[in-house]
Amino acid sequence: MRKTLITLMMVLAATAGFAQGAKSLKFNEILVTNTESILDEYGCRSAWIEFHNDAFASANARNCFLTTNRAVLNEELSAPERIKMMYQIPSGDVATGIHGKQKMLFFADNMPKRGIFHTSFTLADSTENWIALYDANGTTLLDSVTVPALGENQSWARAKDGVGEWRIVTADNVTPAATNIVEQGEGKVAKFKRMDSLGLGMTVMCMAVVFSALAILWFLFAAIGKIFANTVSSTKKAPAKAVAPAPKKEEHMLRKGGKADEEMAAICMALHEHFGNIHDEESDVLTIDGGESSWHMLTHTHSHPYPYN
Amino acid sequence: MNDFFNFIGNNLVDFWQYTGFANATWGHIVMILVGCLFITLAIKKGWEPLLLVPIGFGIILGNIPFKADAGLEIGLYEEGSVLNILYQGVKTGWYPPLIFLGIGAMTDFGPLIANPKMMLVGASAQFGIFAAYIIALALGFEPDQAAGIAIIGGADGPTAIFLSSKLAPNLMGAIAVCAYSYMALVPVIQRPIMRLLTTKKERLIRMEAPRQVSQTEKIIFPIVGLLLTAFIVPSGLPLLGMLFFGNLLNVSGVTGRLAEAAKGPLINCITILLGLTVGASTQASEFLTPSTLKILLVGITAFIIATASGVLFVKFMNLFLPKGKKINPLIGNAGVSAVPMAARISHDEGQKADPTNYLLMNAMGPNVAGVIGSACAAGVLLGFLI
Repeated sequence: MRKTLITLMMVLAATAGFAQGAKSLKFNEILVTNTESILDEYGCRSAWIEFHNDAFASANARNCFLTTNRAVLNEELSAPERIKMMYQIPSGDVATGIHGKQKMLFFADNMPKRGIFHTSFTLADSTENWIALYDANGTTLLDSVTVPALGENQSWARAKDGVGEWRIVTADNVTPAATNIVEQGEGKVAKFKRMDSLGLGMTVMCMAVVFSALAILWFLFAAIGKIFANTVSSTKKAPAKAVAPAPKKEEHMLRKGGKADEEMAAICMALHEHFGNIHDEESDVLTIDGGESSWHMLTHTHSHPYPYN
Repeated sequence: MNDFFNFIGNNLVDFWQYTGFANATWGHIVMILVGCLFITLAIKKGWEPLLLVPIGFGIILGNIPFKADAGLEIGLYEEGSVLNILYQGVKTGWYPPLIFLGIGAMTDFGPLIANPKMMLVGASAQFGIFAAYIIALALGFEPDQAAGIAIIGGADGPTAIFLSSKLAPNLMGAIAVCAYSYMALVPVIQRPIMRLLTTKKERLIRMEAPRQVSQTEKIIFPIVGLLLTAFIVPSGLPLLGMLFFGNLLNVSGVTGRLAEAAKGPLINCITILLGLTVGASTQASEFLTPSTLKILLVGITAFIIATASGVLFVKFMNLFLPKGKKINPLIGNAGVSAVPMAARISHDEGQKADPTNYLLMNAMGPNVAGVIGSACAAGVLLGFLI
């Protein structure tokens, strides 16, 4: 039992650790030759790399590594050897936290002293670039992407944030630190307003769903009830052979709510009080108190304390 | 000396400008009177005092006039104020699921498990929600706002707050106050409809007492119930999950302390915070608008339709049930999820027709089905509109 519990806790801990790490960070869009796109905080234009946190929970990129050096793929390299070839995202800055489904942008300008979002490498113009993101241990590859040679201000972006095919995006449609798909069109509410202005469609659909859910529960528990009723009756049948059957009159009274019901109620109440410890507490001391009580006073105030017939 | 008196005078004028007297408007006075009315109804009439006292006091609290631009950080809508912090549970929608946890721990699903066809009565009463949706649309509300208002018909305060916080946050105060007010008025609203829609003969129908349900069945119910309803309506998960979890704590037989905490201190604390902050959210400038009047109108219509739907559906079911197995239509009103008030009304009305007819346990079936039904309905609306 203890082993099972420990195993279960280890699995849960591992799962929790996975969820809180940077596993959900994905490359989302990369622009190599920047002459018209976004400026950094120094007013300079340089290549940029966009991440997307694919989870709904927050993630943190602190201590993770970015690199363009394919040599790190050599599995025989030790962690310190790999780390030398990579840019480590600094820790100690809250800006490395990234909310669920949000983006983070790094400038590949080889100016790491300009801030945590400036890498120690650049991207090569007009040739293919390979970029990888490694976990804080320097050995676990979180994501990688090969960016083909791109034109000026073109980006290499996923069709949908965090998932989907990579494609070249023209200069007019690059979306630094923003979602790759800017959906324009009617929202659900607007569609309902246009298509179902009276609300009849919504009513029919919703009632159908609610009825279905509860009807399935009905069928299920009707079946479960039958199974249990059969189990109870079969277990009751065995001792019934040894016990004399109840008189028919009593059965009739039970069904019709006669005197037997009252007796049953009295028995149930007594049992309830007994097991619930809610009966009167007795002092276990028998004594005769000589003091006057209000009951005693009745003898003084009424000439006939008990009614005469 | 003159300067000194000027200084004192100016300070007193400044102080006056900060007082409630200088900042009071007719709106504030009206809302304070509404708050007092709620408290009076709760104390004098005994109508849902656990809800109306905190809400009523919250209305007074939220409508104390003060200089809004002074940056005192005391108003409900001022970020960082105490009331604002307490209001986050309403705004982000985590009070209602905690209330549902307590409700689950307090609810005995036994009568429903014993007579599962009562699920359908609980489902039918949800028609009030969707009829109210149609009416709200006709009154010019947007579909998401209409859905937020319509859920009042479920007679379920936490569900109304949960859904309106997602779909119509600007109307949430009015919706919550309306939902709780009408829940307090359930006896007044439901009785005439029940009498109107039933004959004397129908009111006399006797029903068999629900069978005893084994503990195993009671344990299976919250697990299967959650799996089924949440698979069909995942958007209702916060409410359904907490409802069934609370119930499992209660029936498992091994988590008595947790169940006691859920149905005692926890639900009491959350009820205090929820009632107070919902009341305080009804500031005159937000509350005294034509929209509120429309919401009140839609709300009462929703209650009436929900009650009528439940009663009429039972009559419809009776067409197919054999003699001796007929259902007393008086329990149809309990399909709304005002637990256990609606079931008590069924019982009282049944007793008025025949003092030896005990409908309470039979009415608890559709009543708890109504809780599940309204949570499902909220989930469906959320799924369609968000």
